Amino acid sequence: MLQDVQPICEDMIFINTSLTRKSEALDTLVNQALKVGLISDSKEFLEAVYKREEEASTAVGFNVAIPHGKAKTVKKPFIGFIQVKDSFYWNEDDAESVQLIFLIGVPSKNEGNIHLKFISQLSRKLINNDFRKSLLKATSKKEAFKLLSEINKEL
Amino acid sequence: MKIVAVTACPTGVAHTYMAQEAIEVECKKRNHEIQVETQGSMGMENELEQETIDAADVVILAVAIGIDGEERFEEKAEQGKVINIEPGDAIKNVAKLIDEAEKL
Repeated sequence: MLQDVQPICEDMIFINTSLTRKSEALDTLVNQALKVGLISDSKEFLEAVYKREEEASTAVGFNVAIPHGKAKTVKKPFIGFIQVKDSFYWNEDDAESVQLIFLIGVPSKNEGNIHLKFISQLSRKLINNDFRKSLLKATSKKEAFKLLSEINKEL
Repeated sequence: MKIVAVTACPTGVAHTYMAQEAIEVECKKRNHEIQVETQGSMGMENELEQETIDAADVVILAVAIGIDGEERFEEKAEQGKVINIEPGDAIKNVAKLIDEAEKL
């Protein structure tokens, strides 16, 4: 039941990765989303994500980037998470380096449901220093999943 | 001080709510009264009544898209009490934003 409600699953979490650029991070998460059946077309989804990237950087400060895309190919709202070993610049001309990356996918038509509520609550929580510190310190998928799932209790 | 704000961004899933949280946290830290209306994927939440807006000292519009009910803020805008800012900048530079609000 819970599994169905929350938009985050352990399969979409990557810890201590040695990725060094945005395209690698996005490819990793999008390929995994395809593999676990969250999206049906990786190209279409990536296009939506990159289109959003062009509008404005999704590096929001505090070592966090939240790339996101809204597309028909997304079956249900989801969040993927990558923690990288060494922070890198999200965009070449960015002053922001990132270490915590959240990829958010939402279907074109899907307003006001529980998954989106979760995503909005997670976004809010990322402002919290201690929460980010815990995520940076997480050493396993399980630990990160537990931290991210805590949001369910607040809904 | 009494501050009201609206946050909204094109996709409405992340920046809208991060900006809301950043503004709320910073205002509470400084003991300002704050209400933030969000116009995002959850629709309009925490809607600001005209009375509340009229009673506010400053309005912050952290919006990157056209918002519903923009006319509610016209009078405040004429009085020079409205700050317009990109949601991303509101998140990154929230201390500076509230400094600015305090000076208006």
